[in-house]
Amino acid sequence: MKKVLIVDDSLFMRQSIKSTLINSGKYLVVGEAATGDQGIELSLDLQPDIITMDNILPDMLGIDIIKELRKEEVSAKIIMVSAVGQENIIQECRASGADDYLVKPFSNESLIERIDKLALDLN
Amino acid sequence: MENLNTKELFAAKSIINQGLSKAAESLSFFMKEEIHFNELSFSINKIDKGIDFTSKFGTNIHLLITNVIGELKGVCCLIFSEEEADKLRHTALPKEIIENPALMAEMSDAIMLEVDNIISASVITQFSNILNHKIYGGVPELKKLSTEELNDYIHSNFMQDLYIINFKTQFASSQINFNPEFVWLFDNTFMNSVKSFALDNANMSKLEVYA
Repeated sequence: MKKVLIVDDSLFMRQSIKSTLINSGKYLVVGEAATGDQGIELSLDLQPDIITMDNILPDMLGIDIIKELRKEEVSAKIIMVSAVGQENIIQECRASGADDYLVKPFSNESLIERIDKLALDLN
Repeated sequence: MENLNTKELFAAKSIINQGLSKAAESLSFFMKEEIHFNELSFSINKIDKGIDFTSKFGTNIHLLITNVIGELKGVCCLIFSEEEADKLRHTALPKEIIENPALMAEMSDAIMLEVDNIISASVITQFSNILNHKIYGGVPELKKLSTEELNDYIHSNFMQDLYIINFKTQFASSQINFNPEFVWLFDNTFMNSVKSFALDNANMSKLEVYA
């Protein structure tokens, strides 16, 4: 099973993503982070295969976390999961190392579909 | 304070309507039924101390506040009565949470904060794409206040000279009694941006497509 780390300051969103991934029977949620600092720490410690990353966190922007992780040579697939839907920001995130970008709100099916695609790329 | 001319006012209202349509779509997602917004109230001037921001009555009105950060400065307030907040929670949260009192207590505010985050971002995304500014919403905040406290809170926190443009709408559903209010306050960067936007006829023709 692929290991997933969830980084989102919203308790509701962490819970929602976690239960969707667990119910799919295909993913193991290895950690949850509510801040950017925690997200970086857990990414390095837990070495997840996939990271779901919010873009606006209380201490950092998701795009800056991604830059930091790529600098640390974290190779996990990263999907931004954010309410921020501006085209220029989405492109900037992709250029900084995000593998995909899912705009909130989204259905459980679309989340699994996007994560499945990233998981396929890992194989 | 210089006002907007007819063309600029058309642009401002079209841009705002475009943003609010996206917000209504996002709210429909959570409410699992079609939500629309009622006619917009829009004004440019310093707001008088006596003006009320909500028509809701009670002691547990939910005020969700999101600051607009970046090249435009503003704040948005999403306002639910206690009954509307309960309706949203019971519609948006999964059954396993609703039926578990401990989980429900934990998620009760979390869902409201996330709904606000998504709805305000829907509007901000439209403003950003249309006006070509880098803006985003900050981390939302929830306050539970009486009618009087809510009006006082907005007046004392956001009614400095800085905020000169305000618009307000009310969401509505044809099926249920559900009318959250949505108030936006901006400083003059928004007005200047609309003025620059309206100068370009190519921009205006794009707006007519949106409208």
